Amino acid sequence: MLGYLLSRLLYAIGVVFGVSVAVFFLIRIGGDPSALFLPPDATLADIARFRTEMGFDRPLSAQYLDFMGRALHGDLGQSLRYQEPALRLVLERVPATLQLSSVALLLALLVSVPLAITGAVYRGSALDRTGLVISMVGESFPSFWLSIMLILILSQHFHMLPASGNSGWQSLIMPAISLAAYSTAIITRLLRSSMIEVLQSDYIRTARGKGLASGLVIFKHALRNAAIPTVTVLGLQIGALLGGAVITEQIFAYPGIGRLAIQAISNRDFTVVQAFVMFTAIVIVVINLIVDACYALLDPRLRKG
Amino acid sequence: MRRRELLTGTAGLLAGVAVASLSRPVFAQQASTLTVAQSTDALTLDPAKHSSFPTANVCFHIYDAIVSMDAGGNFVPALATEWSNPDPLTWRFKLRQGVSFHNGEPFNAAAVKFTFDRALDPKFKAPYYSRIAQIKAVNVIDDHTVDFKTAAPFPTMLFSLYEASFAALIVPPGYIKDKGADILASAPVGTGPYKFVEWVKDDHVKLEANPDYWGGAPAVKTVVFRPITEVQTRIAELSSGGVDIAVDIPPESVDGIKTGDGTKIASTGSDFVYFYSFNTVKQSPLQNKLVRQAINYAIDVDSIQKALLGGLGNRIALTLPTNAFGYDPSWKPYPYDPDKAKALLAQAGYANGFSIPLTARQGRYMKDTEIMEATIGYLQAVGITVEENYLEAGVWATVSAAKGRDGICFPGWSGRDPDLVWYPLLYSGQYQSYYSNPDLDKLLDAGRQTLDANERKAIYEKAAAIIKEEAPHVPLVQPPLIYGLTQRTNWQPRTDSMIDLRKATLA
Amino acid sequence: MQFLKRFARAKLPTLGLLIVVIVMVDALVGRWLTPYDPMAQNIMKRLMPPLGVDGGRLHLLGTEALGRDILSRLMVGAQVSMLVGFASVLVSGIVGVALGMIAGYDDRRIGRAIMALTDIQLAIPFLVLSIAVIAVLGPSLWNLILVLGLTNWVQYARVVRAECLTLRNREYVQAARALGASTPRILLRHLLPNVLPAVVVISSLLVARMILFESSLSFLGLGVPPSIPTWGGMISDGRNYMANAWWVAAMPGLAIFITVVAINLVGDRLRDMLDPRLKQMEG
Repeated sequence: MLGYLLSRLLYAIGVVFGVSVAVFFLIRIGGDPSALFLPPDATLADIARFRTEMGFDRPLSAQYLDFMGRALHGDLGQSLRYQEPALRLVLERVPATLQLSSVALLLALLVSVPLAITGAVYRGSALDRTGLVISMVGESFPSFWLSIMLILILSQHFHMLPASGNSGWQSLIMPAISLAAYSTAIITRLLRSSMIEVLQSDYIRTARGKGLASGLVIFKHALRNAAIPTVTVLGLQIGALLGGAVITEQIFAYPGIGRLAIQAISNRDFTVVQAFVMFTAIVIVVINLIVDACYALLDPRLRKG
Repeated sequence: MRRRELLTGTAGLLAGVAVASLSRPVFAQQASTLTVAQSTDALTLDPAKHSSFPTANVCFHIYDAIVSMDAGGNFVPALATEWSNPDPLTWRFKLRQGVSFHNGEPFNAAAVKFTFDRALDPKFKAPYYSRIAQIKAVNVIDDHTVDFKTAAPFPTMLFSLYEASFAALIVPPGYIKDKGADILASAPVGTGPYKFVEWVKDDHVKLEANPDYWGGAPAVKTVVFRPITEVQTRIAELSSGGVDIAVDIPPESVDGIKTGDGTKIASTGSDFVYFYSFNTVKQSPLQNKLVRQAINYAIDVDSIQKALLGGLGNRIALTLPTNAFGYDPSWKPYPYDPDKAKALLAQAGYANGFSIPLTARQGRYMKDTEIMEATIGYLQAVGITVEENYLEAGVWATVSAAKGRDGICFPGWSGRDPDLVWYPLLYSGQYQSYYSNPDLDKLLDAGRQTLDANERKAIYEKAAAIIKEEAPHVPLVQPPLIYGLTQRTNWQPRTDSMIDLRKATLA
Repeated sequence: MQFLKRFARAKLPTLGLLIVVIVMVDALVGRWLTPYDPMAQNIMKRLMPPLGVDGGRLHLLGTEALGRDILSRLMVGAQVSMLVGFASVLVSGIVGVALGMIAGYDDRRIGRAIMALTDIQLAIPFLVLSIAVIAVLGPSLWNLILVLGLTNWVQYARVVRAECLTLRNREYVQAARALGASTPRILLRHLLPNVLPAVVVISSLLVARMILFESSLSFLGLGVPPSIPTWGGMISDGRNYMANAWWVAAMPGLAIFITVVAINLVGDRLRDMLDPRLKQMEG
């Protein structure tokens, strides 16, 4: 077990390293920030001087070695725009994003799990159809469209919810709904069909035949087995939530890392982009590790695979 | 699924949303708090360490410059009470007495010198260095008199010393020496009408009134700046009372806000100009003057202004805001005349038209994409095929730094003096210039070598004639600045887009 | 034919298939059927509501910000949106299947490296990749397709690899190897046909997502140039008019919604018919 964990850890380090290399070069291919950062009436000489001062004119390989050397000491560099350590800028926005993503995930689970279970147990009922409609609507709209509609209806028209910011639980509702829409759809569909399959399997029928209370059968036996594929997808969904947060945070003016990232990317604030991507990579890798562990808990047989 | 079932499902969905949002309204407007929604957050609160207008708007309430601008666009005293030119290379300022920074430190000539020495130091790497680079030295004459020295006459000096020249906001020397060079970024101290309270990154900056302000304590007790990028979100916050001033309202939303419950519009012209610039340096039909004139005739700018900008803003005859020094109201733009355009194209040897790239950014300025799309339609009508080449902002900057803007370009520019507009945009070899004409160069050089207003006016009148005839640009409009306000807010916008709440009140 | 009959046993997916066929036909011939020239501007008759009549001619779905006919643009836009959807899925599919098969057949170093590559890919924001591609290759429809293709191959690679891992130990593959068949031959002749059903199913669902991704890229200003009508671009252009001219964004939104639902219905049905196990792989 220890060997297994160790090999997973080495793998994770490899992935984060790979991500750092890829993003370092990709973001620099997209242009350098000098002309963007200086005011429009800067002269060509100003721009050239700034580029030299910042070291953007050095060979990429030399810049990379420099970056790696410092990164190994935990220094991901200064943000050009904010003139602050890039890692600090990312980390101080993590709690807000974490709050939003976990509320969205919770919302997705609260809606999708009951819908999926009742849908599977009472196939074809009105509730089942509601679930199907929700999942189809949820995955068929661009999320920015949904977000703007929510703002127009609930904030601008009915004045029910604040359109932006992060001030109390009310301001989380709309961003969480628009962020959760796609995940809700996927989880509902997936869990519903796994449940249907499991409920039709022999051992559930046997359990029911033996007279076990049907509630117990559904929750203890069926859900546990149906949850395995759902957990896989949940793992991938957390990556999707972080990605979706970019657009959602932008529209709802939510002070999280997605908004920082989108501004850093469009302003070529290299160090902030790097810090953000490496942070995301670590989160994704760690979540994959957790998902693997969940497998083992849910189904001991899978531990070997 | 049959239709009725689909309806049941949809109803269920809506019910879910309704239940989820059963909450009381949360927009308790605070009687003495004014909230401003800008597109981005402050990047730093050190005025010399950024190049962003939203950041400058925050800083301008914490700090003052030595001169300021009134709503009519005239320079007025601020931390300096009067100024003169003892000789063409010297600007002498008498400073206001009895002013102190928020930490009690006195404001004096040494603070002015310190501010500019700091920002002009190459090691400091001030992003707005270019705006103040003409200043060769700041000399303390006595405790309340300073001299600004330049190497050549510098007629637009005041534009480099007022608040929109970001690094010109005066900072406290003692405080910085005590607390370290980076202290202003997070704990700013100035002489301004508001004191810093808190900054929650990407959420808000909060300031409170400075009761001892030299210009009189501001009427609004608390000011909050919030970053809201998406314009629909800003409008929603405005109409629900979450913010009092929302910047950059698109023209099509003006009527809705005017007639809205508790909201109104404040609008003014800007110092900004929309225009197309032709790359006449690279081999292309645009090197032919007749072609450039033809394009000027081909575009119906009046209709564009009416339809896309809601008739707001000013039509400009040349690439210069109508409120700039030297702008002559008798200047006339090329009229819309597609037949004349076709005739000129035929005369230039392009009777069958030609194809040309349009290099631009999308969504950079209000309605820019729609204006360009409309232009493409007008040029198509006279036989010119436009290949759109919309570049992402960072790519555009990189292309620009390599002087690689091809064909027709939509750069956008601002400035209230021909020397701030025509010199960078039209002087041979300048970064933003894709045109070269030795006669014009001579005039533009002459215009920046004297401080005499009448002499300068005469020079730029001659330059204007050349620019009109040679048509290196298509002047379009001076776009409006449109703000959405809550009814209770009394505030005047300024043409330079700086937000000044010193005189603002809440009803 | 038999397959179609089996497919048609489910009514809703058949309706979906019908819609998909209509949209595809529209994508192919729509440009000759439009009531107006989709590019013809007239800013004096901008933002006309649906059923608006101008000079005795009907604008069924209204006009947009530059006075162009929305129905005509939707009809032509179908072509670009479908092209983006299918071509980018093709790119993803080729990259993903190739890497997935290699990783599944060779479980040693190369295979593991490919799997690490999928994790790396997942962590790189598509904005960064898309800006890099645009900076180097310039903004165009084909580069947009390339970006979408290169950011969505991971799902294929993972599913195909899992399939190959089980397939490679099958007797017929072992036999082929014992008979001296080359690795490429085994991959193409023996493994590829067996992973195809899974690939078809993923593709059908991914097409719908690609159409949505295109609209997100337009929203961020990284889509195709605005004069080329795409459904996603039209929604994005219309978003500032949602409050006072709802139809500009709502019509393309509806078009995307109906098409995506239809494609998803078809995809679900294909999944049920071809490979019931595959639902475990969706992400």
